[in-house]
Amino acid sequence: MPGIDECLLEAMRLPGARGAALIDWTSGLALGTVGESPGGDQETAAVEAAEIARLAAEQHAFAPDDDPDAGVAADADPPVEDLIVSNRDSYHVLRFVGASFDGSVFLHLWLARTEGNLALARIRLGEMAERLVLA
Amino acid sequence: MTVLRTAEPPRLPVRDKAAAAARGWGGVSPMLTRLAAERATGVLMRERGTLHLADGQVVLADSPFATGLDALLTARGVLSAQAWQEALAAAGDRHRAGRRLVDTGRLALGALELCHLTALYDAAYFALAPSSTPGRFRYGTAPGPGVLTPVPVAALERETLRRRDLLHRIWPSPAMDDTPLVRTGLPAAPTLTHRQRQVLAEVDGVRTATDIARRLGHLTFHTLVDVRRLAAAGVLAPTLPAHTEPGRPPSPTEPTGLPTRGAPTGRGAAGGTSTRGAAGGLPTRGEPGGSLTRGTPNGMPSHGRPAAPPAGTGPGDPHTRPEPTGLPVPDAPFGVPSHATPTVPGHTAPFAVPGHTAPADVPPHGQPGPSPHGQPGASPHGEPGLPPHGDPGLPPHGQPGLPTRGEPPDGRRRPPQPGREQPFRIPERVGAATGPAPGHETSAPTGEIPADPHITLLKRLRDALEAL
Repeated sequence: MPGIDECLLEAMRLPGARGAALIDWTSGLALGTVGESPGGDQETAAVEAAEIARLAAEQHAFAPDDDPDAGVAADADPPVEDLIVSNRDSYHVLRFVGASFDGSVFLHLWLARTEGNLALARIRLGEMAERLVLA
Repeated sequence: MTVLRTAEPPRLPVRDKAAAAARGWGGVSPMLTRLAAERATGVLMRERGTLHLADGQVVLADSPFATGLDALLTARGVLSAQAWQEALAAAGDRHRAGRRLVDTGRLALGALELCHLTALYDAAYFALAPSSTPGRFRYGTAPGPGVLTPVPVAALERETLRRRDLLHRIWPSPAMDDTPLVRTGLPAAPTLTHRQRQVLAEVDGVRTATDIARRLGHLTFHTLVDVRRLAAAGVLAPTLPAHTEPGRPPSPTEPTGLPTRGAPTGRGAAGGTSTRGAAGGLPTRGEPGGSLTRGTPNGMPSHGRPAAPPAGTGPGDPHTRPEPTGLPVPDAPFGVPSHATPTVPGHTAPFAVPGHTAPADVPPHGQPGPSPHGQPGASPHGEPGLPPHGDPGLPPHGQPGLPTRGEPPDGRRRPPQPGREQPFRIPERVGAATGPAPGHETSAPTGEIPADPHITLLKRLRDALEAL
């Protein structure tokens, strides 16, 4: 059972990982950061990542309403799983963490494009997000 | 000629924001800053919450306004309230209770850290809110091993300031932060998010944002974000105190005005634009909120000012007094001229106000004025007239006044001016410009001397504003 730091360090072991952070997307607060930050400033990067995560999580096109019958289970699963932004030299993978607590939290992994394996990163990040909050 | 010069008034004490920014935090609480520097251990009690420090870092924060760690853990059924109580009873404090739950496999460490950190920032946001009473610090002993991630004071203060700013950008009225909320009766905009609908469902006219957050197991700050977005969308409003001004009690009417300009979604980007538009409409609800003044500098003058002239219309002197007291910092510069113009011409002379219009008018008139008119005005005057001119505050307004009288033809904006200026300036300005006017000896001194403190006060105010 990893804590936040262990989880981030594990993410950093993925090939091509440049930086990782756990960010709250409502407030833009970085709850933990490891490695480099895109743009150089941790706080700014966190706020910007939070902004895009919030947009995805709140738009109905991307985050359809949970059906009322699903109840708590639907509440625990974030409506959006992950968000991938690729640019000239890197990938950003934003993985939403289950909302079993006031969960507006996601993992942000920054990968170098040349060494990074997007599919692997996506799968691993999903596992980490799950283990982070599930006992 | 003797020129009286008053010493430049001392600048008002203002927090040096530049230095604060360089230091990394904005001086949310100077006491906390000091405690962090001396690596103190103990409990800082402020008006809206307490911070527990260990070795200068914050390990725990409490606030009656925030959702506590226990509510966060138990509200969603992840942990039963009973399990938490048992752990708390067995372990003694929250840190150890959390550890215990993790050790016994009831709770993931990540979940505990996550809840601990978010709850800490949540409570600290309220604990560090501006307070009206001084904080107290009680030195104590360190909580011992098992403390979950401590947070540096600088990071906490920076985050708190950022959060204030974030809320302010969404909807610049704190009125909804601690009053019961009501729906405005409008159909909810279809674009509300899941969380916003959850919040809206809990609104019943009695619950405050804090109550709603606890019931939902949400962080209070997050709920405030939702609430302010809903307010920006015109869906929510604070309940108004029963004794509002007679003119505007009907709460339903206000909200109806709002949504039109509030962005329907009320989200960040749109919120930015909507807030500005809303500022114009806000004052109506600003009264009950009170604190709104800060948020709507442009909205207030229209409100604050009209009240002033009637109060001061009678005698000249009293009028100078309401001025300073009525100066809720930001609007003074803008507010004064606008209300001054329409007021009775009769009382303008003693008012001599000049000072006030000056700041606004100076730049344009300043250029043409000084050269031709400075001398003629000065020499005939002699002692009585001069001191005010020598005074740092006056020259700018002295000159601008002159040209308008002396040379109407030269300036293109003259036409509008006479109409505007006559009410005030003629009495003493005419004296100043034409020199020999008999009345000026009496009018100028009486008019200008009382104006002096007035002007210095405004100057200090201006300095203070500039420093902000």
